Amino acid sequence: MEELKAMLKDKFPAIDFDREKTLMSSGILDSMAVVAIIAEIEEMFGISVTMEYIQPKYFESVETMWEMVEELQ
Amino acid sequence: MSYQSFGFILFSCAALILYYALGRKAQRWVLAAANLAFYLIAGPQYLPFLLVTMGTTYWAGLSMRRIYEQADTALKACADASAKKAVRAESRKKAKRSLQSGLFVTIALLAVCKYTGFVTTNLNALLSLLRIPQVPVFRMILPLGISFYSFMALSYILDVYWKRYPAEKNFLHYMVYLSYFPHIVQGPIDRFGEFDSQLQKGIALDTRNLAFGAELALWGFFKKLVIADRLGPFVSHVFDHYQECSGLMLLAGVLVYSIQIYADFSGCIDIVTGVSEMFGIRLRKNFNHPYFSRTMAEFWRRWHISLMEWFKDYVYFPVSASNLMRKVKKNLSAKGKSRQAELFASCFPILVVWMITGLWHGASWNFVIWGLFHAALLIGSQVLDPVFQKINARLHIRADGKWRRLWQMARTYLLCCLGRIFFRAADIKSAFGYLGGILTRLTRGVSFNGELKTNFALLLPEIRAFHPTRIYTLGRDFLNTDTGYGITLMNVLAAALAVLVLWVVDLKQEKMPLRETIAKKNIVLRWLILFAGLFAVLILGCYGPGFVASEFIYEKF
Repeated sequence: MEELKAMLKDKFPAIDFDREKTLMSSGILDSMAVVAIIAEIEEMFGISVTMEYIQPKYFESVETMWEMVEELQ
Repeated sequence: MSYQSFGFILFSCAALILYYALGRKAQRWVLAAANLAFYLIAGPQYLPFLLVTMGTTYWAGLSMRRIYEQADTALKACADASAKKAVRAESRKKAKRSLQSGLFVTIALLAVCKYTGFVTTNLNALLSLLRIPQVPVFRMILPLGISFYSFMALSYILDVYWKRYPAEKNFLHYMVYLSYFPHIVQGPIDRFGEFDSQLQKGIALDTRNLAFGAELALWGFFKKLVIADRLGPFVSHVFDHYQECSGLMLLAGVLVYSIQIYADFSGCIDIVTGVSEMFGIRLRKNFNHPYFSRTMAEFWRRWHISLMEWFKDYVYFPVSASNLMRKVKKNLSAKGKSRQAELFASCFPILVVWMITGLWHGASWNFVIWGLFHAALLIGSQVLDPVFQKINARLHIRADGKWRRLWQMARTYLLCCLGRIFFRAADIKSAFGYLGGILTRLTRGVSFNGELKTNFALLLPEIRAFHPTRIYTLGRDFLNTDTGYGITLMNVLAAALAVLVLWVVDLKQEKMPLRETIAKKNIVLRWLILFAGLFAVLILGCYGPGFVASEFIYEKF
């Protein structure tokens, strides 16, 4: 998960990923940001994020994104 | 039965009484009957189209549910991972076939009803260039709300396919969702999961729902009848006679049109959301004070939210996550063009979304250009964002400064207005003519109806001499004189006052939930506000004998 967090912090330095738990519902991440994150995750973990997982609930926090990665691995 | 009609108020009241009087178990049946009656009153000829979409997508959903259930049973019996993978792949393949049938019928029906005329007209233009005999132009009937209920049906089968929730077994539940009379004509484009869960346990009569719903509906009537319908004739006049209008008047025409369409569409959404709230059913939010947006991207997160979220979930993400996109990005990255790969990944889905958004609004090249204009703005702002940030940093411009915020809001509003010219004009030629008129005739003076001057000349001496009865009579004549632009001075003043109220309310709502705040005030003030709203609609609204209520702008989409 630390690897994922480091990538997110590098890509979005203005967002506090340790504290934010409602990244999607509070509008901190928009759809373009989600697409960029998916591309990074796919490259980093060698997985392909399918449509079942492209839902706001999987992008609310680092923890939920990690949950998605684990399920897809 | 239009949403702003007295008939709709009576219809909703009758449905409400039955809904709460017959008890919770009968609520879905009451809604189903009300939906059917509403649709039949609108036109029985539309019903077969709705039933075909409803039946096909219901069957597709049910078929996918069965396939997934069978796969789940088979998975339990599988010992190794490769066998499980094979079961999953097989079930996905079968489910895809059901999905494709549902998608095909729904999209084909929408396309045939909405775009046959457009396609055959353009085909004939091409054939005449090639000197080939033309084909007959087909114009199908456009079933009421087809653009909205088709999108709701598509979201249902796609969600089932992506296992976001299991398909509904009970046809009545699905029927109530798809044909729900408050959202079938102009949205919001609701999602089955959110909608149906509210009706699971039945809804108890709650006076708060009734009061809040009625307040919201009243506010919607105010927007539609006092603002949109008073401004409508002026906008129609300017757009219909754009060749004769000065640049300033053309500019005023499009600025006013932006207010009219906001009051019209958000007014309708407030009416239907308010009525639905009285039934205890919350609809998706569709507007969030869009004209306070600082960027176009923000504007589209605040305007017609349910449609934009639909496009995000069912077009933008699937295109972004498609194999084609992955291949193109991979190829570009392999060639060392990672910046281009990144740009392609972010821009191409936007282009696809806005091409379809344009066509969804209407079968005309105007709407395609309008869509491409917004795609260009969104892509441009994304590509140029690093440049703007550098400029701001160099000029020490504070990102959150008051004046910068105001400038950004004004810029977004003006860009939005620019696009609206293509949205409102009758065709492309008129749209460019209108735009050209603004640029070339901007310094030309604005001329008004001569009668206005004459009536004012008659009124002025009476004001100086202070003759109250004469001032009243002549003042009334003066205010009821047509300005020469399809609108009287009285209507200009009434609409201006109403727009000011709208602006103040929107500004307040940005900071606090207004209905909840009003509910906390003492009873005298609450009733005073309610009566003020009611009287504003009754006194300032456009209705009554001799007045033909204009249809809602989004009704024809």
